[in-house]
Amino acid sequence: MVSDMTDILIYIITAIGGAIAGILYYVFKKRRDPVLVNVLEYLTRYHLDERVFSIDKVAEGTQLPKEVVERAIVRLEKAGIVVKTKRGYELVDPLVFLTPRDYEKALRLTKGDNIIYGAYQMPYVTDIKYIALQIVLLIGAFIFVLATLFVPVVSDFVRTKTGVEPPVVFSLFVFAIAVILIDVIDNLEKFWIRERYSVVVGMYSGILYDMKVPDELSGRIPRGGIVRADVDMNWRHKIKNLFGETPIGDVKVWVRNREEPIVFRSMPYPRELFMVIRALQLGSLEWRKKYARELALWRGRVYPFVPSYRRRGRRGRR
Amino acid sequence: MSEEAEELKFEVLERIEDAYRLPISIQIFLLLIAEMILFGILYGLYIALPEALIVFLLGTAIMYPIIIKVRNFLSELIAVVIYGCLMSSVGYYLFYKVHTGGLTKEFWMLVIFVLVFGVELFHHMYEKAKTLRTTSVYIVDIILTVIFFAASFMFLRTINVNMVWSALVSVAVALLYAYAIFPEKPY
Repeated sequence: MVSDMTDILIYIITAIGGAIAGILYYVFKKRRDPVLVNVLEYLTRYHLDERVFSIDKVAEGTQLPKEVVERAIVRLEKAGIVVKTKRGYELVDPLVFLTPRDYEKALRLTKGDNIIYGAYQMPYVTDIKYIALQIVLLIGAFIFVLATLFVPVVSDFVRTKTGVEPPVVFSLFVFAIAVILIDVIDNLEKFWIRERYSVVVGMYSGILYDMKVPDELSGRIPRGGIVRADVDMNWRHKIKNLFGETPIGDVKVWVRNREEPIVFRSMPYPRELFMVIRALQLGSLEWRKKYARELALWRGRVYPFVPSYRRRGRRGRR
Repeated sequence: MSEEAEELKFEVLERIEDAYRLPISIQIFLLLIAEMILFGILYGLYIALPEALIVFLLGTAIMYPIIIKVRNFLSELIAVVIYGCLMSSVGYYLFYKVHTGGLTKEFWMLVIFVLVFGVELFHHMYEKAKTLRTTSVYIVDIILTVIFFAASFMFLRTINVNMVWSALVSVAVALLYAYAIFPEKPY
């Protein structure tokens, strides 16, 4: 099977490539920074509700030198965990996934309310037409690569028309262009949803959401107006949640004096949004503190997010 | 606190993503099944070993981040090693077996392919790299964009496009490339 020396060489090069990548990862992998963990723990413990803080206050609370705290806060600011405002630094709630610009806008429009959830609806992520476009581009380009490799008619055609030898080089080039196009379309889609689909939940202002593009969160569901909320996940959401990047799902909110629910489509972390809405209804937001630290550490890239599975049926057996 | 609120408190998961994903054992089982199917297909089609190795690594590289949703040191290390194996074998195969000539249009096409494929696959395999906005990530992305611009320009020059048009088109495609690879928010 191994025909010549170059075939043996490919295995050696593959092994060396893997080893180098692994060593580079090990060397450059950022270790968990104890200072950052300390600062984040302090912030999520004491400033989740009383959000405004100063570097002096954190330095005093954590017993760390002011310069060290300042460096940690700057890192957290870059990660979007804290934001600098006119009043001082503020802790961004861990369930806020807005851009800094949109977060500031939300603060302005809610007159400085405590924003406890903020994200964008992602209706296109599970839209059949959008998925089909991506599949046609990617699979089409991939089939073209295979065709130039295994179908003589196609490879002859490519060779004649382009003069590229071997023709697979041209099909790989087309594949690369298709991949770039898909990524650009994806980025444009994200830009569009940020302009059109913001959803913000404020502790006192209730749920605010965009209704059209030039809109500034004009849709409003006051706290007292929420009758019922529900999470709805279809099969596309399920597949996306099992194998995709960000868990999503529809969140329905029934409002007083209105029969049809308001549906927030494909919201990131839908169960958490549901919890936030239910908590607003019940006036109990204490539970956020329980996992705010975990989420902030994960979002701040301070520490890798390592799920640990506790099987529900075995909890009480020990 | 009301009973409902107590229930609510209990329901909030300690680890936010766990509830959406498959258990780790199932993830590993699915990956093994997928790998066996891939191996079976390659074996059944009598694909020669060097090519089969590359296709197997490519299949693994595509499936691994889709199926394995655990984020820890070991899972990330495995992803990076698979990436390193694949990129080195693809690079070697393309530039020593597929293309054996000099700096022809085929060479520049392959450079463009490797630049796109390499970055996109890295983003696919190591999700953090796609969203991490650090100085070093920006520097690497700028360097890659400059190389992409140079490769596009050289490619256009080899197919006899004049200097000005080559420069203009190369700037445009390099900007698209930069837009595609620069860090982005996942939501």
